Amino acid sequence: MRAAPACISAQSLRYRWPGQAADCLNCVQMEIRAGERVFLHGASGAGKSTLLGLVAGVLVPSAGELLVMGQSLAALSGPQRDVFRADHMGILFQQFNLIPYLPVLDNVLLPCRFSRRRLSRCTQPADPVQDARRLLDHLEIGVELHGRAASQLSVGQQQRVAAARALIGRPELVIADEPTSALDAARQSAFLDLLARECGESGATLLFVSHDLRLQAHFDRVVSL
Amino acid sequence: MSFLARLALASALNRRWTLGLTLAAVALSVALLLGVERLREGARTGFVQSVSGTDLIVGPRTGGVQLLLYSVFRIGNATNNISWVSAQVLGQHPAVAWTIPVSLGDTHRSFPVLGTTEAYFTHFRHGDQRALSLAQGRPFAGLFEVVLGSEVARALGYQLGQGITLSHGASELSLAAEALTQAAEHGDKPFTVVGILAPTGTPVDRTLHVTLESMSALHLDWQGGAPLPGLKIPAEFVRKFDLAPKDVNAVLVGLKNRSDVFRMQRFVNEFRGEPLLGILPGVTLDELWGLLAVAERALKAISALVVAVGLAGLVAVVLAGLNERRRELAILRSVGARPGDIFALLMVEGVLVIGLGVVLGVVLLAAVFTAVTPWAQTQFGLALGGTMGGTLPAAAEWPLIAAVFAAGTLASAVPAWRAYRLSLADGLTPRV
Ligand SMILES: Nc1ncnc2c1ncn2[C@@H]1O[C@H](COP(=O)(O)OP(=O)(O)OP(=O)(O)O)[C@@H](O)[C@H]1O
Ligand SMILES: [Mg+2]
Repeated sequence: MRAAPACISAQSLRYRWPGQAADCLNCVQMEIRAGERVFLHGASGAGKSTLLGLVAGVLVPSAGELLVMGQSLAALSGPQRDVFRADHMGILFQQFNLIPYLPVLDNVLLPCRFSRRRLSRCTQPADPVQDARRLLDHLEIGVELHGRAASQLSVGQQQRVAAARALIGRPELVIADEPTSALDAARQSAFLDLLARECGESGATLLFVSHDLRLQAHFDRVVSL
Repeated sequence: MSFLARLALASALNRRWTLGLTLAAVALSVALLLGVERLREGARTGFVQSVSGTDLIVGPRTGGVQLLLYSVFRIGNATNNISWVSAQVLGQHPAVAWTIPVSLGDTHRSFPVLGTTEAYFTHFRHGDQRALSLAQGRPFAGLFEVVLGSEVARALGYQLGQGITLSHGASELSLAAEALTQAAEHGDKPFTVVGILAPTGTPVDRTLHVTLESMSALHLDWQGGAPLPGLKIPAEFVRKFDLAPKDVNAVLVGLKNRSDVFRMQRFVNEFRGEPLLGILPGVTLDELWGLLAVAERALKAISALVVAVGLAGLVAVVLAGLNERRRELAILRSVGARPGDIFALLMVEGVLVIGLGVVLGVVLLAAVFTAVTPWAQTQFGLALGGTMGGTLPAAAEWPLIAAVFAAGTLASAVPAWRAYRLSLADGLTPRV
């Protein structure tokens, strides 16, 4: 069987925060293949969020090489990186992922507003709402919640809506920065199952960050920082 | 509507209370700015039109402004006179259509008394060529009859048929001092109110009008500003004397042909009988208004400052709200919004508040002026017509409105720029 192409590849990657004396990330080597579900583990302050910022193209490496889907992000301009991120990545935060005053459906559709590619990759580009409803349904958000303001959902519901938003328009890469830390153990597990299943279904690579090693069972591979 | 605009609108609605208050502040400051401007313009027009239709004011050789001040505004003492003969020569000049003699000096409860002729009621014009009209009664016809300006009647509560006494000199009389200066009262010759004028919004409202003959009759037994000792001429005997005036303080002149005004002015200034001065009231009124330009400018500066405060409030509110919105901005960045989009988002919000504020301010002002105009008309005779009563801003106000809008847009760029910087620095993880 031929190995899948690399989704993320980091060579001697370094990053130092402006004004800081020491490197935050020091010579990171990492290779993640397309379709893999990877658990990125590290102690608090190890630089996990920083690494995700680099992968998302919000931060620029101080040295070394970082390729995402074969593209060197450092070679792109700021606005080009913004477009690249919107086109190819879905992002999940630890908490407060939604725009509070927008309804659930509008929150899910946000990436389609900023990225043509995400819109065109919906099953029906003329009507992305269909995909949004299907994803919400898969993530067990009832129809009665679709029109409700995001601020009126429970934390667990909010995280599932955020997952639907990360997945809409089938981005190649889903990045999640401790999206389950606000949930109890049972809900964490259920959420991870859902997320992993949906990523598998759309063929997305999943890069999941946590300091909680108990969650690693849901993933193909563990990478430590 | 573009998605960003809709997003900005939804976000603004989410913070409608704080933004609403800011909006009210902007609207009020805009209304104030335009209102002050309109009042200023109205006051100027009212002032400059205190007298209209009069081509020339002729008086003794004093300053032009001084002549205007006492002949039109009854301010200051008319110390010099021109002889009645000169006044009559003027009236018979072939270029002259009419003359109104003006004789001052007496007061009633600190309101000035004006001695004049019937010509005053037929020829005097103010505002937009408006003639005087009587609210009640008739013009004076004979001795010891008085016609009141509207303000005099209102302030003192005088009715038709009422008897009043005049006092000599323009000195203010407090109630206590009144007893002491009894000597300076024309108490022996009471007047009857025969008419009350409609409001004009000019000094006419504060004036009591009597005939020149009444004026002479009052002073038959006076000399040099005091009653002649031992001489008392009772009212019933004054008719036996020659009551023709000996002099007047000024003459308002109307010409048959306006184009003769400069020729007539030269005639007056080179008058052979005695030294005279002729002024064009419009020119001197403008000159006088120019003296008030400082106050006018101060008023303008204050209302401009109020607008600045309103805009500063807007900037402060949006800036303060920005910290709570860092998360929101980070989310937008994570779904692909560019820093430029964030900047645009904040700009849309600022411009929205400014735009609505300006519109609301204009509407508010129109409502206030519509409500107040009829009242101002009857109470002060203020001719608020034209620009002031209009619901739409006058042509002269558009640049002011545009300036406020431009300043507001510029001010909105401050929080927008800050949000742009934050979204660049924060990346995906907003810091508190
Ligand atoms: N904006 C910043 N400026 C300067 N230093 C920063 C900044 N953000 C993070 N750091 C530093 O970089 C290091 C790594 O931070 P990072 O947020 O990547 O850690 P993390 O692994 O995500 O930790 P956690 O598990 O607690 O989220 C920390 O030592 C932190 O102090
Ligand atoms: Mg972190």
